[in-house]
Amino acid sequence: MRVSHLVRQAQKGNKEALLQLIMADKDVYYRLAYSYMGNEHDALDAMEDMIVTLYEKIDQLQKSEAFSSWSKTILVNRCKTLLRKKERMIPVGDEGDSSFSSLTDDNPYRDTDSEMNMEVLLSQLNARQREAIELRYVHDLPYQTIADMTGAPLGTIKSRISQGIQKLKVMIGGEHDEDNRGEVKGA
Amino acid sequence: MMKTIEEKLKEHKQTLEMLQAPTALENRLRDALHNVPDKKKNKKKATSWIASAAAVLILVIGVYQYPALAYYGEKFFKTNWSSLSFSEVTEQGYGQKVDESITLRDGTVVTINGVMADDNVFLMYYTMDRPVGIEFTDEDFRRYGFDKLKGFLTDSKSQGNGGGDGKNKSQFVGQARFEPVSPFSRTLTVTFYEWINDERVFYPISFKFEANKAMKSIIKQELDQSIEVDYGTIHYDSISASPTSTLIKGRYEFEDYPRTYGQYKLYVNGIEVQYKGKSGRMPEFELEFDMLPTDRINSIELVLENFLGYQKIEEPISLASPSDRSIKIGDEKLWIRSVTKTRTGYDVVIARREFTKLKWDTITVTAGGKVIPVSSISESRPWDLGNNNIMRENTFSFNTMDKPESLLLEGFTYIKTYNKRISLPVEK
Repeated sequence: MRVSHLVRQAQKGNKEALLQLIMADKDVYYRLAYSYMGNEHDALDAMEDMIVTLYEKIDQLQKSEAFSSWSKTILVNRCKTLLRKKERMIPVGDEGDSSFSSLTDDNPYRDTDSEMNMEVLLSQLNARQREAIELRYVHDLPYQTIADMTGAPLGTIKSRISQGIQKLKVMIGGEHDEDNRGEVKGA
Repeated sequence: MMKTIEEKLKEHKQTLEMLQAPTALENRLRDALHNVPDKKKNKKKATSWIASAAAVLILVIGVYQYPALAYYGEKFFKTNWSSLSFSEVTEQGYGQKVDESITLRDGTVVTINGVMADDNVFLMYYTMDRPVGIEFTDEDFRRYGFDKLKGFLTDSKSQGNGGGDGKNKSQFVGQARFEPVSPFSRTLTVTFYEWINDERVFYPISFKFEANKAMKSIIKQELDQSIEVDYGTIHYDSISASPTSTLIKGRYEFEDYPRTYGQYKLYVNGIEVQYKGKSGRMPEFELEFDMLPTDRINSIELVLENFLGYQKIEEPISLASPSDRSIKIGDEKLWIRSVTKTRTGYDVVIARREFTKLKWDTITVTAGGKVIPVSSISESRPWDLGNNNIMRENTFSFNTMDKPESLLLEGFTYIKTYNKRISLPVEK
């Protein structure tokens, strides 16, 4: 109820209502922006762009319940636009631009080996598979939202994710036995 | 023990969840919004037709005081065409009736009631009727959409749609916007789709398009105007004033493309026309304003109020007497608030306006005859001047045992006031 009330207010041009909608989930939006941009400075730039676009386009949102996925889609698009301007690949796949690099560097709590390992593993996927897997497993977004964000059909998203997961399993489980999660080969 | 991929992904997620939005976020977003011009609310059609009729009436009484116009008529310019229902459009003698339907798998009937075309947009009015007694749920609308609109020389993308309940909760009344269509199209086909279990099911709907019922533009012509800004030249290539909107198209001729487009105002006979937004893919852009208030045009002026500027700094800035008094650089100000000795060197606190961004990867100081690059830069934080002016400041750290004498800063970007005015030559 609260969300739909705020969306209606925002559609009437109430900027503070729009701000409240974003602030209510600020960490979720920030993490999404951060995972594309890789640093606070650019993540904040992307969120600024997002809120301006949301304000200008909120008339086009026909159902307030869709606000969350709609706004995240716009955020991801803004991130990609900014990244394109920086002539980077999307989502960041090269080591130097590793999307969580600064996060993992700053985090004293992480299990270094497994986290680094995940970074390395993800970097082995193609950019689209990696993006879909991160949006699904790290950002908990529904398949449909991921499809909207990336402009790919739902079926394609599902197959990118399952192929990506399969590839990851092969990598940690050995090349010959896709279902073998129990042992490391050649490590 | 080796973990499964699912477990590893979960850990990866937990790592990310330790990340929290910086406290600066709220102010950054509020300021970004503050910089966007307020918009006049386009009425959402979910409210009743009575309300929108009332709004039109208020416009008639309140705003424009133009004499009767020869071509479109006085009433025409007092109508907010893009917010009317189809019956309201036809009442005024415009629009084209269509009445073509398709039936979705679940029995829902989608009807294109009518369309209204002009040089800037193609509006389609539709209704969706659920079988009797079944109400729409909010989830339903995430499954529906319009794909492209196609026809001879026409391949128009959807520009979004909106709507609301019709006579009851089993009916939805909507309006879909598309890019304009070619007047040479005789038959148009729009494709409605719905997602059913991960599959998109398409339902094409074709109808005759009567180009002669399209609404004529008030002005449509090429422009050859430009404005110089710090980043290069902004060219304005065309203006198209239709009954639904006024579009000015142009392109940037820049070496690199700044993120902000700047703010514009449009005046017709000295009267401001409401700004609606901008779009486009770099280097091209499109400014959208409301419909012009009249076709008796004596003058059209476009004013670039501000745009991203770049201030180059040639001279070193003295660090001898830091204070809360500003240093004027070009049209803009900076503050060197403090220079403090730390365990590892010196910290310099520099404040600036919110949207002034220092080119900070190349900041250096001179100290003891040497040039010392910045070693770290803090997150920015607000500095409240107490007079409704909140600046942003950062601490710049330098590894030097000598006291820094001067700051070498290449330049900064900022929102620069241009107020450059161009007259658009309008042939009638």
